[in-house]
Amino acid sequence: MPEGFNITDKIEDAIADIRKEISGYPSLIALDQQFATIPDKLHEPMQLAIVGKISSSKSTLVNAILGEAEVVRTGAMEETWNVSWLKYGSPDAPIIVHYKDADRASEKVDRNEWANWANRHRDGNEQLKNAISWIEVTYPHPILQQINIIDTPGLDSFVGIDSQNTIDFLRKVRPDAIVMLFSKNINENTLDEIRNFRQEVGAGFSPINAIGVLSKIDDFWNSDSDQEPIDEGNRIIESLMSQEIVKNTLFKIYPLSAWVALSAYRINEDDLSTFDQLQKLPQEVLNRLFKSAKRFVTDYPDVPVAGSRRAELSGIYGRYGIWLILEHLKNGGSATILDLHKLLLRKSGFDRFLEVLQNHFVQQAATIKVHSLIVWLSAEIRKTTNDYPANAEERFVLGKIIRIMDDLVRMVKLQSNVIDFAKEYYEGRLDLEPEEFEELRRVNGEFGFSCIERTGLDANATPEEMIEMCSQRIRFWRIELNTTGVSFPSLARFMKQMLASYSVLSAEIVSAKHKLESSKNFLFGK
Amino acid sequence: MGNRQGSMDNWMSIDFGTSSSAVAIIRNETPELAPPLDSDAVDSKLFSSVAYVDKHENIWTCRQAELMGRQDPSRFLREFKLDIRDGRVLFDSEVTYVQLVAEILKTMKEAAERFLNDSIENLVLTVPATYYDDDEKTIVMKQAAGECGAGFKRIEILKEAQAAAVYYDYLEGQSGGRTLVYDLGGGTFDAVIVEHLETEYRLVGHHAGLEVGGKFFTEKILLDYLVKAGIGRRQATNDHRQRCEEIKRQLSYRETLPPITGESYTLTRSEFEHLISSDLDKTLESCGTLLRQTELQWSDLNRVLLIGGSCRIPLVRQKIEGRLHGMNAENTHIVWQCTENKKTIDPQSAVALGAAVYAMRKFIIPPPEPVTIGVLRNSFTGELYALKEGENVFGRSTNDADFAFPKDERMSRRHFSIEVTFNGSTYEYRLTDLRSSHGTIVDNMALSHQYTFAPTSAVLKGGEKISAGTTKFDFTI
Repeated sequence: MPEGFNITDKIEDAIADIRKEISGYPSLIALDQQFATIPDKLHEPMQLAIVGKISSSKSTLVNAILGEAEVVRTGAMEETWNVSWLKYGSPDAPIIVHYKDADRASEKVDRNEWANWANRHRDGNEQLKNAISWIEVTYPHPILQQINIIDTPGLDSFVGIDSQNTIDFLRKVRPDAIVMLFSKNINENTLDEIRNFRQEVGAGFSPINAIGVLSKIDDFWNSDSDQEPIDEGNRIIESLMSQEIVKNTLFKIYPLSAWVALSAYRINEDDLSTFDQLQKLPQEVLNRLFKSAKRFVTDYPDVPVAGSRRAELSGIYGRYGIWLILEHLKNGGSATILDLHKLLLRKSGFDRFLEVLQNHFVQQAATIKVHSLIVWLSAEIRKTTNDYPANAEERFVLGKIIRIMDDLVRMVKLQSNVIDFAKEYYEGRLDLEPEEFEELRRVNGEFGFSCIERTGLDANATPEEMIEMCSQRIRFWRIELNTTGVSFPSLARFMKQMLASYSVLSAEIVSAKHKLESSKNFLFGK
Repeated sequence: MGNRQGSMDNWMSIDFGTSSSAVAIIRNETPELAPPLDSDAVDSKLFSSVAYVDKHENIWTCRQAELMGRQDPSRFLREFKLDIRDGRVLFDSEVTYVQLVAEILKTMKEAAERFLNDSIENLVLTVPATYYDDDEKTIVMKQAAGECGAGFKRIEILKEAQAAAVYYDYLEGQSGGRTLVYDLGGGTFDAVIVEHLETEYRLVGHHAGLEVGGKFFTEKILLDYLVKAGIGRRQATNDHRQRCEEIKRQLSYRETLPPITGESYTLTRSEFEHLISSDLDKTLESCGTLLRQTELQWSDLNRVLLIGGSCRIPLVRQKIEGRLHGMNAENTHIVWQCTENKKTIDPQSAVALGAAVYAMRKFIIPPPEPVTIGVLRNSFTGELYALKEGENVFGRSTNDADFAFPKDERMSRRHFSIEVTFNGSTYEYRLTDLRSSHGTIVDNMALSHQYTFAPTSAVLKGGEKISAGTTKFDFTI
């Protein structure tokens, strides 16, 4: 996202302005210090928990989010048998073990000693699982500065302790968002799983902060069929989402292949040349190879690449991943690492999922955090103004700051209202038509924060058309407010939100248009 | 006093509400509600807090705005009290909130001046307890009321709950203690605790802004009606809503209703109560939170003062009674009518009237000089006899009289008494002859029990000459 685009940036700008105002007044230094802490607080990462059954490719998904293969090694690091909290930091920092017993101090285990430590406790594994609440692992990946990832051992009813550990942890830590993983077999058990989850973890999770992932769509792939696995995934999801319990729990379910997505980060030159060799083979030879897993790794005289080499590739990309790449190359697609990387991310359904994770959840978690922060700060300033016998000049500055803060509170409130409305809507307490709810989310930037995305106009629209569109909607919602809103006051709040959102949007378009014109004048003259 | 003061000293008050506002003036030291200019006898005495901005940027207010808004709802503004800020009111107009509110206040000022038949220069404006002194809303309201707006010379800001407490004291006399102001209006609920001190009405705390109130109750009836009549939400008309509004109003006064004309739908009071019960529970939770925050118990409250139109609903009182009973706070009483004085606290006008009383006490009636009790002076010796509150007996007996004159043979053992009482601002004096043998003379009037037609007591105003036996007194205040 470009700078100045999201709410966090806007607040940082405003805080910088305020601090500039204060800087001339040594007597206001205490207030300045409070403002100084805000940017760090704004950038505290969001907590994202990943839950799902064992072997639902949880670790693969975590690695794919991080874009690296080896952060969470299934089994080897032993993290999957307990809740592990992945934070930003040095890869050499010790692993911190937190115990359930509040009196028992957390323990630091050297990274190199980890395997030994875990082994030493292997015999008493069950007991250890009982004792440990979670472990903390640091890793220097930039995305962890924004999102902490909490990998849970899953909600498998057959492994009681794991399940209990996960539930206890979620109840205690209350992550900002949660990703629920489903493998391909979605059935009655899946619904039970969701039902149990809601019962156990509480009503704190709703479509506001929970999202589903159908994580192994590569299983739907068949070389004989023209059907894209992602379509098959969507078909399954559609029927699942028609269930009341699912609709009320999950924002959406995204079909993806975690495996293929992860492989997108592992393409290298060697593999590229092997793919090139393979794509030159006649289609019927390829068809024969892809018929089954066994055939794929068998040596054939008419296939130049050795079976063992093909097995190696299949371990990384999966047969579906390889198939995608070969299809792309055969159709004359470009063969750079970057292009194939993009291809795999797109075809695996992973880029859409990541986009939602970023735009919806990260943004939303920021809004919730920012809201409480700004409201708190605003109250602090008022307290200062009341307690502190400021002179006239200081009073003037404080007054100015209060105005800036009031504007911020209003802006943040507009955003956090959307979350409240969404909650009410999902819980059936706000009787909106689906398209009204869609409009609310759109104009508030849930489907993209650019002005044009918020107006919902097509890409060719001019700023004038966008402004015209806003004023039409403002007119519409004002009339709604003064007609339907009179009979149904519980909807009036929503209508006022629409009015305010379009007014803000329209002001932003006008200001951006002005900037654009003055840049043009500056560059090219009138 | 109304005539003595110049027009420069006239005050009025405005309780600027979300959906309607009340205006009060002071006439003959009594607060009175000033109705809108265009209201007729049966009409409400309240002003509609609405405005309409036409294409030429003219602002229309109150009832006129309502009429224009019906034709063009796209430039109509209602329920904007909580949106007030330093900015424009409509997207495609330059009109600001300051201008808009100024026009509404002007309409109210004109109506009040017409009603008082004199010009008014000063205003007490009430605001919610949540507003800070330097609050943007407060500042905008003040600007709108000021010389560049509605034209008031002096503007005093008073919190709504304080005004309500002032009004209670005005009707009931200095009461002291703590009042929980339970303000359930058209769309919001505010709970505020006010402490009645000698010199001020102190705000102890507030829990405000709960979205519960009259319009939501009407909506609940409307939704119930629509479901039962099989009408979709989108097909609901203004007419439907108005009928539901009427049902709600009627149910405050009776248990059941005949079906509304042309419809089979009807609602009993208990059905209505069922619809709004959980909303009312929320208001009590809000009060509970406020009490916790201020570290008080229900029983620490001397009274719960019901303010706002929705308090006419009987269930409101029942719920509060129930809570008070449950919390062993039987000594806390609910005020919705001051029955002792047969004066009614009207929940919709108490704030405006209280604000007018506030202005009257603070700015109009000069602060009373320290009140002392009058004295009797012996006309001969010059000796002073200071009276006390209550009964003061004069007589010959040193045992039975407060002031004894054993040497005066013509005085009876208990000759006369002066009863001193305080009426809230001054002392009153009544002299009564105590069946004396020779009577008591006040100025030229004889008080005696000997003659059937003679008076036995007289009110003293100060300056009277009194004689009993051979002793003569001068009474001075």
